[in-house]
Amino acid sequence: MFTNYFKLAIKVLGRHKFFTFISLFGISFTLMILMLVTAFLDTELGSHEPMSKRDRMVFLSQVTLKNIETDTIMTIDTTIKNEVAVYDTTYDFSPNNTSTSNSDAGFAFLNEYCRNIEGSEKETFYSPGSSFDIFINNNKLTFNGIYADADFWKIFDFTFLEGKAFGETEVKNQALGLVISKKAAVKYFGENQSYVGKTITLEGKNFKVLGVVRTMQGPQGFNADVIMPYTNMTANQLENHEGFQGRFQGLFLAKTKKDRRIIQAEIKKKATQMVMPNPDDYNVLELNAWTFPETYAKRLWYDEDATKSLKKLFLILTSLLLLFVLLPTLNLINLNISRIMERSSEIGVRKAFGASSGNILVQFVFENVILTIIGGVIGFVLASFLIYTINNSQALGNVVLQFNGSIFIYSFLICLIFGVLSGIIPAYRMSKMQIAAALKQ
Amino acid sequence: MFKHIFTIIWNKKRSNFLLFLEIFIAFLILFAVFSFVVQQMRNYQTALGFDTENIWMAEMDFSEEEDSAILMDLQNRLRSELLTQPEIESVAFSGFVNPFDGSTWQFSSDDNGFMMRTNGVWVDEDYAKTAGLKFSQGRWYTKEDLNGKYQPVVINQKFYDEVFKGRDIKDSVYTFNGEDSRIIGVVEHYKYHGEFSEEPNVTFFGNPIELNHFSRLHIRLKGEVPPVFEAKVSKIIADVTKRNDAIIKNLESRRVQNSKETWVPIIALLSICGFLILNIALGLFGVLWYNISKRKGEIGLRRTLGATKSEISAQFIGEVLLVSFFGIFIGLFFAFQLPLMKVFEIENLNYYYAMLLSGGLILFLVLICAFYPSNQAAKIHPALALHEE
Repeated sequence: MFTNYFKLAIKVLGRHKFFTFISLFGISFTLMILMLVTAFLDTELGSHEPMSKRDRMVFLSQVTLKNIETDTIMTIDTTIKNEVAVYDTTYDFSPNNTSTSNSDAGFAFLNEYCRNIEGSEKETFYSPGSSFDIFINNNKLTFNGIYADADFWKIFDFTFLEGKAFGETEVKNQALGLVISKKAAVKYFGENQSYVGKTITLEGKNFKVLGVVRTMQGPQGFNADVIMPYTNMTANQLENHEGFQGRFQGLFLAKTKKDRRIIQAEIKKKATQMVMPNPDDYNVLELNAWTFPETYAKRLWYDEDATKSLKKLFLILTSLLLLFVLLPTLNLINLNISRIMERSSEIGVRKAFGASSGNILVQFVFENVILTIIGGVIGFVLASFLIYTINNSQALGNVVLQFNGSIFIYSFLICLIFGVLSGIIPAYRMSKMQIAAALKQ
Repeated sequence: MFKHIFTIIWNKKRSNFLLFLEIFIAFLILFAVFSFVVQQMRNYQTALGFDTENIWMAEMDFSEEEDSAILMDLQNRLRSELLTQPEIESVAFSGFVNPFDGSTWQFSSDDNGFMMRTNGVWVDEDYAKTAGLKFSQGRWYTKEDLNGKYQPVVINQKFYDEVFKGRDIKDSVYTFNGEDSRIIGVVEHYKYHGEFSEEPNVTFFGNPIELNHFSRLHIRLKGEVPPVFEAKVSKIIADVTKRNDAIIKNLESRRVQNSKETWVPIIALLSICGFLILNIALGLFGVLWYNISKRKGEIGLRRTLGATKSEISAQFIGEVLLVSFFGIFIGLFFAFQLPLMKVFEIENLNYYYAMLLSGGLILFLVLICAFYPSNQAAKIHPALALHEE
């Protein structure tokens, strides 16, 4: 039976080439864009190296100091009563935020107060955002560096091509060693069999290569070329400013996904218990730790509250995606409804020979699924080609889109839903047609 | 005529409803995308206000140096050392607020009897010529100004228009950042957050907050230089400051990078929209063509009763337009909630532009798609059409 349906479907597709083209164009391009968008989101937000444990991560990257003073606001209202001006004076006391300072956290502060947080299994304190100019062979290289502690390697996961990371001893001894990405190593040393043991000069200091990792690019714009022990930073860089601020971020690995909320609450509570070093400058400390998706949403909106930002991001993304899928589906339904009319005599004949409404329905949905699968294959090819071109041209800078199996399966599912949805409404209408009416047409 | 068209639409409300829904959703999507794009493009239209080509910015760290005499000497030596290079035209020091760095220093006060909110930029007396600022009024500050009784400040035109227009700035003394100041010049633009950012109200201050605050060095080159020269400059800085951690950034590539962050989503969104539009247009064209060819009997009858060709095509186009108008109208109802509720930080005017653009584009599209099939329909010979029935 299905072979017959299949033959019929192919015949019908060939009959009106223009309409088939319209349908295929709609399906394949919609799927292509869906695949591209999901590939982008997956690259940015999926659990990839080095953040495979992203679902248990809590980031403390913002220390906010505020100075809140209670202001007295005097308001004088004048009204004319019986041709005499009457004054009505009100006093209003309200807290007024006179200055705010946002910054990363200081290392000493993190080290002293943010260890052994409830719900946290492990924590690492690291300082991203250092860059180094290197002039080599009449060429300039700019390396991004991260200063990190030993636990950094236990929370982030990198694929080591050779060598290994630095441990507690290296950190303690201020060892001049670093871990480098393969890409950076090739840039600095040229293509080589092995890089471990070679020396790189950064800021006049000679660092020994301890390990080479496959890549130091990850979700959320995580991007580095070299990572070295934080003890190599100057005393000034390790110092706290205003008591709490500095150049470091805290990353806590929760025991379970649920424990992230405990860590967030615990850190928030910590802020209220701190004694402010200069209450004249700043009298309120706020510590906000965010989960992985919240951090991402916050980067997009700069809202004070990342949970709100995340909701906003989620709402916008889902509604846009929904609208985006709905439109081609509607288009297809519209087209199918018009086109299916020409099949009415066929339906009449089939019904007259005893086909049930269900049979007719299945046939038309099947035809549409065939159409969407063909469209899906074209879309898949187009998407792969586009992803390849985008990665090659580096249009997205350091972001490298990856195409993985789960994306394909999701897209295929969407493709099927698409086909069934756009086939079922017109087919249902036709299957309900009276035999006489269908035959007459 | 309208009543007639409306009756026809009403009689076919089922298939017209789908068309209506499609137009409605297309309008919403286009409106959302255009609101964003219009906002960005209108920001893009105003000039940056400073040059980026052949300008470098060196970032140094003076935070550990607390002796102001040593620091002053160091800065002077650095300046004169660099100026001896024939490739360098001028150099200037600045504080922590710099082009494309994303840092802001905002303050507000009502010390002058009116509320003013401004973004401070701390740059020295050589900055105007190093960055190529253009003046609409007055001049930049000089070394003498900086040592004078009043703090000299320069503001940008936007700040002037917003706050100081109609006020006397030549002789009046205003309080800026707690100090008595004179506004000695107004620059045309200074969009230091990038080409797609909204221009902020800017005030330039010539004296650093603390001496070690001036740790960024702007270098204006006379023209293209080989990469070796950058290494040379880096070496000079390292020799004078006795530190190896200076970073040299090329302002032009920073600008390109900064703008790319907005160009990429704009191009992505517009190409998605372009595809959607094409998709809708093709679908619409197909449906209209098909539907009109199904109504040959009706056309034949009308033609026999004396309707002209143009009346026939007017009727079909009128039908589709009315349905589209309705879809856009309902879409507008939802779209108007955004400027009213102020959900996003987008200027109201941009929303109105976006409404106009998306509505216009859809109508244009519908017209094009309806034109060909309706014309085909009108060409049908009455006898032929009636015969078919």
